[in-house]
Amino acid sequence: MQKEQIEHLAKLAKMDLSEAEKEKYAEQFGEIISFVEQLGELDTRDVLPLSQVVEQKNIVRPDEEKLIFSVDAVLAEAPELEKNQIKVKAVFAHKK
Amino acid sequence: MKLNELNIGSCHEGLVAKKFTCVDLVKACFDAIREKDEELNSFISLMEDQAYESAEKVDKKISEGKKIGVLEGIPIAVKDNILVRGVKATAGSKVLSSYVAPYDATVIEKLKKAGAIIIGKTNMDEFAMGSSGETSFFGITKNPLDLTRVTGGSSSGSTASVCANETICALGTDTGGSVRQPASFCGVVGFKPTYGRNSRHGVIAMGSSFDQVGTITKTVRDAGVLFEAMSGKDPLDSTSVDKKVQVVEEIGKDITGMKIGVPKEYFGEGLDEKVGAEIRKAIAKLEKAGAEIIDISLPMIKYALNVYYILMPAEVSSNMARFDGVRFGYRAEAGNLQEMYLATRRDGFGDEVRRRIMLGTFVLSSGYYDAYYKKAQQVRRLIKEDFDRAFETVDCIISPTTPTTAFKLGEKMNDPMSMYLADIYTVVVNVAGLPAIVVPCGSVKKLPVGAQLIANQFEEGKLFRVAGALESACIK
Repeated sequence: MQKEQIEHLAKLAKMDLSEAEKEKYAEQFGEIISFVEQLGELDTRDVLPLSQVVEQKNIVRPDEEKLIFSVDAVLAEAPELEKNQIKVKAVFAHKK
Repeated sequence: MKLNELNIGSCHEGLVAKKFTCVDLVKACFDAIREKDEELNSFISLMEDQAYESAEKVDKKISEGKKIGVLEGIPIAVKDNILVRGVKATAGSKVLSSYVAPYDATVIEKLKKAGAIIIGKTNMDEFAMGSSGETSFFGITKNPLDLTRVTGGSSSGSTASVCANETICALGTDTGGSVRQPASFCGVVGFKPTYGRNSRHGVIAMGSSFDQVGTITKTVRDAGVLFEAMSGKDPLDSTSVDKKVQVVEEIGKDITGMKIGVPKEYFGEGLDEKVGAEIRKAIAKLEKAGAEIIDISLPMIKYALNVYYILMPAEVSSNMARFDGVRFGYRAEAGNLQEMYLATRRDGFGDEVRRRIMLGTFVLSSGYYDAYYKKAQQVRRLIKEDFDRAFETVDCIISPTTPTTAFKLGEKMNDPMSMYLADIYTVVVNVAGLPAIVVPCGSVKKLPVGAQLIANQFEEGKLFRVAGALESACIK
C-alpha cells in the first residue's frame, strides 16, 4: 500500500500518524490485504450479504422518552463542563 | 482445599451448610489476589469494600435461616469492558483510564440481582483487540501456569484470575475467541453463547455483529449456572433474543446416540501435531461414552479469518469513532477542536487499536466497499450455510481451540498476521453466530489443551450435555 493512501485513510479516521507508523502500516497492510483478498476466489454473484447473523428483522419499539442514565453521572464523565454543558474549543477558528 | 479454589456449586453447598461464611470466601479470594496479582496482573480495579459489604448481607441472610440462590454470595471477576456502576471501566485503554461507569450493564444487573459478588475488574487487551493479553495500557497479564507465556486474550485477566483461583468465576467477552482461546491456554472452561443470548447493553463495543458476553469458570456446570442467570431478551439491546435457556439440567445426561461431527478442515495444516493428538483422544472419549463420531467437511470455514479481518475492523473503526475527547474519557490539550481530536486519538489509543481503525477505514472507504465489505458479508452467509448443512446431520461439532498451546510472551507482538492466525479455529464460531464451549481435555509439555465444542444457534442444551460428558470423561 502507498504512503499517500495511508495518509488519506488517516485523515478520514481522524488519526495522527507518525512517519514510522505510516511506513509500518503500509507494509503490514499489504500483507493483511493480500490475505483477505483470497475471498476473490469465490463466486458470490448470487449470494445475499449477511449483516445480522441470527437474521432478526424489524425490531421496533415505541418511541418514548425514558430516563435510563442519571444525567449527573453522565455529565460527571465529561472532560470539561460549563453551566452543566459539555465545553469544547470553538469549531470555527477566527482568523487573526 | 482453600475456599478460593472452590467452584460455584461447592461454594454454594458450603455456604448453605455453614461450613464457612461468605466473608471467609471473599477474604480467601482477596488473599489470593494479594499473594499472586503483583506478578500476574489480572486485575485493574478491586472492589474490596463493596464485596465485603455484600458478603456480610449474605451471611446475615444465612444466619437468619433464609434460603439463598445458587449465585448468592459467589465471588465473580468482571472484564473491564463491562460496565459496573460507580466503578472504573477502562477497557484496558488509556482513553478510558479514568472513566467511571454511570450505569450497570444488563448482564451485571442480572448477576447482582442473583446475588453474585463482584470482586474486581480484570485486565484485558485494549478494547478487546488482541489474542495474547499483551496490548493493555495497564500492562501484560502472565499465564499463571507458566509465567514466561501469554494467558491468551483478549479476556486475559478474567481467565488468569480463574486459573490462579483469585476468584471463583469470571465474565469475559468473545468477539473472535476472546473467552475460548485464553480458556484453552489456561486450562479452564470458556463459554460463548449464541449471538443474541446475552444483552450487549453496557458492554463496550468492539465488533457489534460478533460480540457476546461469555464466562470463564472451573466447571461446565458453573458456566451453565451463570448463563441461565445472565441471558434473555433486553429491551435495551435490539439484537437480544427471547428464547428460553435450559442447560444445567442437561449436564450429566447420557450422550449415547448423539452425533458428533469432526470437520476435517480443523485438523489440517497449521495444527500442532501434539495438540491435534490430544483432541483426537477427547473424541475417542466421547465415542466411548456412547456418541457417534461422524467425519464432516466445512469447506467454507477456511475463509472465516479472511471474512473476520474485513468485517471486524470495519465495525471497530465505526465503534471507535465515539472516542473523540468530547463527552467522556481522556481529552488531550490542544489549540483547536480538530487538533484536540487528533491528539486525543493519538495519545489515547495503542498500536493494535490504531491499526484496526485504519484497516476498517480502508475496507469501508469509497471504491473498496463492494470489493471487501460486501464480499465478506456474502462469504459470511456461505460459511453460515456450511454449518446449517452440517447441523442437519450432527448434534454438535468438536475441534481444537487453538493451533498451539500458550505461546511465549512477546513472541507474536511485532507480527500482527501471525497473531491473527492464533484465532483461526475460534473466529469461525462468531462469524456464524454459534454457541461454543471450551473444555480442558489434555496437555502438551505441561501446558493445557482445550477442546472446542460447537452447536447450532440456540442449541446450548446439546452443547452442555456433550460438554458435561467430555468433562467427566477427562476427569476420570
